[in-house]
Amino acid sequence: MNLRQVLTNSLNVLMMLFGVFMSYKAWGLYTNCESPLVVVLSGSMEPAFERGDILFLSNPKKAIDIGEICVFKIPGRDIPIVHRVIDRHDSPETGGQLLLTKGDNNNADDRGLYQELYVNRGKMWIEPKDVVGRVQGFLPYLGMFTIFMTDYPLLKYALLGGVGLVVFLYE
Amino acid sequence: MNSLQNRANAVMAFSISAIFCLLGAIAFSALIIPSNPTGTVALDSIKVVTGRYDKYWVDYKTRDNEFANTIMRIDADLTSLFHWNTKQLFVYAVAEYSTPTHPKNQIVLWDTIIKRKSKAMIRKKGVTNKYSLIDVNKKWTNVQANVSIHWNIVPYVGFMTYGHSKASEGYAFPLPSGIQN
Repeated sequence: MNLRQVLTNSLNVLMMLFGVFMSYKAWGLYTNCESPLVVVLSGSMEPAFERGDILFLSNPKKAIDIGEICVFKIPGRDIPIVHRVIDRHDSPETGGQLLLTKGDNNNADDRGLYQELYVNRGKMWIEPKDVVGRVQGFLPYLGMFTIFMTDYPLLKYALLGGVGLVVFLYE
Repeated sequence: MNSLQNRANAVMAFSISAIFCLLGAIAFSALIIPSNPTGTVALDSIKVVTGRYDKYWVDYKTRDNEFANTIMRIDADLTSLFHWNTKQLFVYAVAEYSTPTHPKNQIVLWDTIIKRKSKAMIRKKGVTNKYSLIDVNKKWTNVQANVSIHWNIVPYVGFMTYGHSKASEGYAFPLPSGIQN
């Protein structure tokens, strides 16, 4: 193992990481979506989406349609929610839409969720500005990797260690 | 160099790209498989009642909010939408209307999830609306709504696709005729 080899390997690993990161960001620009890939974390859209499935998002210009599945954020809540639009009311004067959502696997619509925080009391609708992406495509299971890594941090360190070993040992 | 590591690497890389090519082919094939879904929804009855809470006990604060109750007849044949990449259909009946303040409004009245081809023929009478039918302005005067059946094909892998039937005739909402219980 010499220094030159280690440096070349680290350069290769970094090139790969930055390449992936750059293409992800470019894809985000193309789809008009800050994070064009999300992993489903809850079972509220079962049986369509299960925990660990990957969703491909985009944010087209056209109005959100009824029945579309949106990823949205409620003010004051960190984790975005993936649910289906069951009501829409468009008003061109304000340029906006009022949307109501519901998880396929939930019994009630999401008004309980919207109003969960005290600051959001009386919130009856979400609006397109709350929507971070609209589901266009679906890939099952593969998101389990990231779920495992957040559930078992040891796995994350093992992976990082593996990359480190490659840098030092690969010839 | 034909070390074990190189061979394992080559096998892994090849199988991963082969799997993704196959998944891509399946995803795109779903877009070109022909289908001829049909469906109609008709309202047998439509009544308007006033009340304070909706079906999920959301509080509308006053007692004069107008909720509409409908009885639907649904006929649909969606069997042709089941192909090798159909995991499930999400089928929903939608009421569409326009008001002076909001030119386009759509409200889901009823929905169901279909997971088998043999269940994709829907013949239902006397279906009441599962979700509250209330406008943003909470009034139904001078409003005409039409209803249609929509579907969303959820794939095993690939693109979410949507479709809908032709809209029914317009139904006028009557004046409020009771108090919601």
